[in-house]
Amino acid sequence: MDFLLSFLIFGPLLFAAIALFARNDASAKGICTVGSLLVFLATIPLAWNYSSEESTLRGTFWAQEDALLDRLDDAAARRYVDLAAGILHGRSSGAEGDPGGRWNTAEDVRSLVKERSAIELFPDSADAEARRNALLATIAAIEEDDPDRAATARAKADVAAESGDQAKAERLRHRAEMVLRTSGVWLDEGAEAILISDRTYNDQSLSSLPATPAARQAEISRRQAFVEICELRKAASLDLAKRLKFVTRVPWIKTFGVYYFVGIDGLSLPLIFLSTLLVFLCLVYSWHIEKAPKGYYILFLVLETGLVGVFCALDMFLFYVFWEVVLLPGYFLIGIWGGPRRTYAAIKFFIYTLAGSVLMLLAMLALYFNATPTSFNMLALLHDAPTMSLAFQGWVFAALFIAFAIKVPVFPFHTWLPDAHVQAPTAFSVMLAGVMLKMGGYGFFRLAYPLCPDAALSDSITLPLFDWVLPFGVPALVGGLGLINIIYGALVAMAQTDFKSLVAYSSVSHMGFILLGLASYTHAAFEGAALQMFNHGVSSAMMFFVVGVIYDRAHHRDLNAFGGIGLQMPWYTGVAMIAFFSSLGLPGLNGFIGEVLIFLGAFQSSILPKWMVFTAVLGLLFGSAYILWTIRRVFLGELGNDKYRSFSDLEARETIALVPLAIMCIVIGVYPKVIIDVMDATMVSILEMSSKTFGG
Amino acid sequence: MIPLAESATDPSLAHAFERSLEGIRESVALFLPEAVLTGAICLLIVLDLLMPKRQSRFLMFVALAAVVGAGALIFFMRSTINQPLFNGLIVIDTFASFLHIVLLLGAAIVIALSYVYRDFENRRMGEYYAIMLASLLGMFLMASANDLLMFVIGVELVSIPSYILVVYTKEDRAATEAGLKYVLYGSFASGVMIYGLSLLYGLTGSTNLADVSRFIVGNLDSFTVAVASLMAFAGFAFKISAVPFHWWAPDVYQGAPTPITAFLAVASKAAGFALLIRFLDAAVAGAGESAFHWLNAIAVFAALTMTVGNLAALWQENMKRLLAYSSIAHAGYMLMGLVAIGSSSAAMGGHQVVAFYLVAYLFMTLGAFVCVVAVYNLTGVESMSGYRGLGRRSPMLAFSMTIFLVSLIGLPPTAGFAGKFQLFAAAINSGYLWLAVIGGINTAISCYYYLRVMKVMYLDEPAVEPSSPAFVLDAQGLRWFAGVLVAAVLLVGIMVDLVARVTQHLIIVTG
Repeated sequence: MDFLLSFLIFGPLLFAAIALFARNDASAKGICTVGSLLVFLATIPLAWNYSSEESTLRGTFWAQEDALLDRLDDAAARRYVDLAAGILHGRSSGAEGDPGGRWNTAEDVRSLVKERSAIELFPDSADAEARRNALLATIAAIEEDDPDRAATARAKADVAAESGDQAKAERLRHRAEMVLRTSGVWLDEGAEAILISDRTYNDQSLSSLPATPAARQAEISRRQAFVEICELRKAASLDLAKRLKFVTRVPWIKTFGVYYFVGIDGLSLPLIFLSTLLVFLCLVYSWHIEKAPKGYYILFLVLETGLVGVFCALDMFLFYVFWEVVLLPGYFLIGIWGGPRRTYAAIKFFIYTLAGSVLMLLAMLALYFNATPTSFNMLALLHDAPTMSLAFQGWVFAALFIAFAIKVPVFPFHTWLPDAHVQAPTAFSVMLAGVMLKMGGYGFFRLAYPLCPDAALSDSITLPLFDWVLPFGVPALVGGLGLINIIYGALVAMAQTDFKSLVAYSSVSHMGFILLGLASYTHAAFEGAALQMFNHGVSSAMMFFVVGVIYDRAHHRDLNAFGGIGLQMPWYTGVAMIAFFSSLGLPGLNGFIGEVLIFLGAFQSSILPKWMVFTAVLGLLFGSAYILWTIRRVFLGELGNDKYRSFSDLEARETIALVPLAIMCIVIGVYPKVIIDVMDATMVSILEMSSKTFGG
Repeated sequence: MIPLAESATDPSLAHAFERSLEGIRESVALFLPEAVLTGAICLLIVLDLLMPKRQSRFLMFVALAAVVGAGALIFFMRSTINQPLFNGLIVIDTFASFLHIVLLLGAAIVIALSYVYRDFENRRMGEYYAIMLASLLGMFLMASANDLLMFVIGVELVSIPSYILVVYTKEDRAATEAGLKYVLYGSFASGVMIYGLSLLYGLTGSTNLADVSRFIVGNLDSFTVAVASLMAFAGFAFKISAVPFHWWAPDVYQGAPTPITAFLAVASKAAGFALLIRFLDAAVAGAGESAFHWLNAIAVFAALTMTVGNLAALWQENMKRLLAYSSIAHAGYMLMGLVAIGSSSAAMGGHQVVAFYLVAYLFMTLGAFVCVVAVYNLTGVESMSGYRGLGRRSPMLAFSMTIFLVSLIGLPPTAGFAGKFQLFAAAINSGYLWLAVIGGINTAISCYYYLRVMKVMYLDEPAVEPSSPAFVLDAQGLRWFAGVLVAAVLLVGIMVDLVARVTQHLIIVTG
């Protein structure tokens, strides 16, 4: 099945190439539409396979976790803590030197652990065999020396005892014991403990436990929190790597270690499904396009390649390449087929996004050189993330955050969005709101947050150059931006008289909820945010279709000039109501589930100020206000104009575009488990990338 | 210098003289590619006299054959050789051979482009190709120069033929004016450079680059060395059109016949970079930490060059002038890669990433000039208005131009991205994050003017009525010419290893 994923990525390009040589416009349109249908159909077995495996796994995981929690008594926990402390303590020497002097600091232990992980991650690299042998030899040499080291320490302890320094003697005896106890197992069993305890406790706090018994006990019980994750992650294997399916990994640019590395997990699958579906629906919907239809259809398929590629890529370089592939079709689709101010909107869209992606490129290069061995592999980078310093993480996080924030778009980077939406042709607006904005949200989940958890959760921000310490932390900043998006977007939407720009600003408002979910950093909120991305994709796509349908008939979008459409076009109105109420968050439709989860998680969150959550609820109120008002102005009341009497109800192509989305709104609203099952384990594993949430 | 009279009496001097003769004899065999070019120059001049004016354009094939022959010789004879020739006057290393191949590729494309250029019809072309090959020979020497004297000879051998080429359409006033500017700026810059090099000679007592390098590395902080090197840099900066020695470029690029503009933008710049890299490598590579100020100076020049180039390009209406400023900006990007010149990184050394970028730059810039020539041949216009509606009048040409522009912006999956990515990587890897950030901002700025061309091609209505017969622009052969370059740009961009595997192993030898 793995090749199916590559078909999803390159299939559209293939059909685009065939369509390029089509003899006339009609056959080019046909080829592209059938091609996009085939690509969409290919996602179904992938989704089916993934979700069925995932739901079985989910069942067993919860059972295992319960069992583990029961089993995890103090003794087991202490053993782990001892082990980690022992390894660092017994094998680090400090001033009192150890024989040979080769094995000096806890840093060395870490570098060995890291080296081993690196070898495991790149088993097929050229020098892996040699490095593995060297590592084994080093370990063997160390362990061979262990008895000697213990003996030396014991002898020193005797000397200290004779001279009356009991504390020192005790310390040295402890070290001798630790060296012997951890000999042979330290690298295997202690590796994870070390890596995780490194996150908060530097080797000093580990090698010198507090002196008073009470503080000692407190320290140990705090460390048990880490031990828990250790055991859990080991047993239930919540590693992101284990969530990935249909993985293909082929060398692409060997000189820089770039791989064609793709796979899907619970975060990307829904978005891939949505992309392929929406492209097909858009192509069906756009059947009436008269201006250069061949180019239009081909550009849509190129866009699809970029979108699916972004959501599958597991190599940062590849991710960046696909990210940029999305850019040009967007420029041309707005610029050629758009409204009166299309040129301005297209260039603005392009420059904004490019500025963001250049930042992403810089962050990517910084990460690449920071990793040892240098790598673009996202999994390897994630693995190394805990060892990155806070300052480094801060820079990388800032760059990635702005890059993705432009795409989402987050206030104050949002100004390109209304222009692009209003000028774009209907189908491209659908793609833009439905999937392309999600690229930003996806980037937060896939890269910014897991790669820089310390920065993402740090509770103070220091501005470089000035050394100003801001009075709030990153979660509050992100949550605050989300809040601004929600409230500001909703208020501006309320003031619009252009139907399309109202829907565009409602997108700004809805994407704010995703930010709020991210900032809360809890399980429910993360899941809600991921669900909201999908839901907003469905409902905003529908809303843009709805706007397109009425615009094609009335040739204007002035909200105040409509009225009474409901009686004139009953089917259309029925479908439009589903879209509007889903967007408003009516229980029973999909929008509600995502928002409720986000608020649930946000209230649970200990890092997000509560007033923000309360204020954000106001956004729901404003949202209902502008949506209900719009419904009244467009669909209810007297017929706005006698011309409207000639309006026919939905055509076949419009029905095909709208009905599947409406069905999805209802299905997910009633039975969200279909999608939550797919996402859950992945979201938990992303959340777990930072052990801080468990420690604090 | 060895006084001959003395050498006859002094046996050790006589021995040295013999040894140097022996060195020359050994070197001649390896100097065959240059000899082929020289032979072709002579042949072209003679044939040009014998042939009637109308047929003289077919001498293109002689020039092309010489270029292909030299390329084949380099590929088979020199691709793995690293050694000084002619007692250290020049050096043949993989870096030089790679640059030679790049120069030949550029020259071949420019020669073919000259064959179809509208303004060159009914003109005596034999001497044109001869002069171009002479300039190419100079670039060869620049790329492998290992002696301050050879620096001067190389630069002059490139410059003087270029002055003539720029005014080859001498009845064109703009070309004449451009030629005059070029001569004035050029001679001033080489004067300053020669002064700087002579200072270095005075300091070290030797013109050999290895000796000079040893001296510079030992005296990096010396004021005199800095001044001498800065003066030498003026000469190189003129060739690569780096700020503040870029003033000539826009006028000359605009005024010169388009194939010559392309030749200056690509080949001349590549040779300039080769020389700069050789000089910097000698001065900085062994110096470690103490070369800090030098690299900072390069970084400042890079930042200035790209920013000035991009900002000035924003409002250009003439396509060639726009490409001129764009080429200044690209010189800035390449200078950015040069901060890694002393880097120990295996794949991200300064000369390696710049060598890669030169390949990408060659294909995309020449591609853009091919499109300019195509549009000029059909419409006689070089300004932006000639490109209106090109997307509908000549879809393939517009598509090719789009790919070249996308590559010039540096978007994947094109050669421009593969190259720019390495430049950024090299800068970041050498600790010049601020420079990479400036490069990033510049990339965002540059996309505005490149996009403007795309906008004119696709989004603006054609100047001609779609129903009129003048509507369809059929560039015939040039479409395919551009198509081949599009394929090259995409190939280098997607199969990055093809070129990167070679550039990664380039080494610079100082003999």
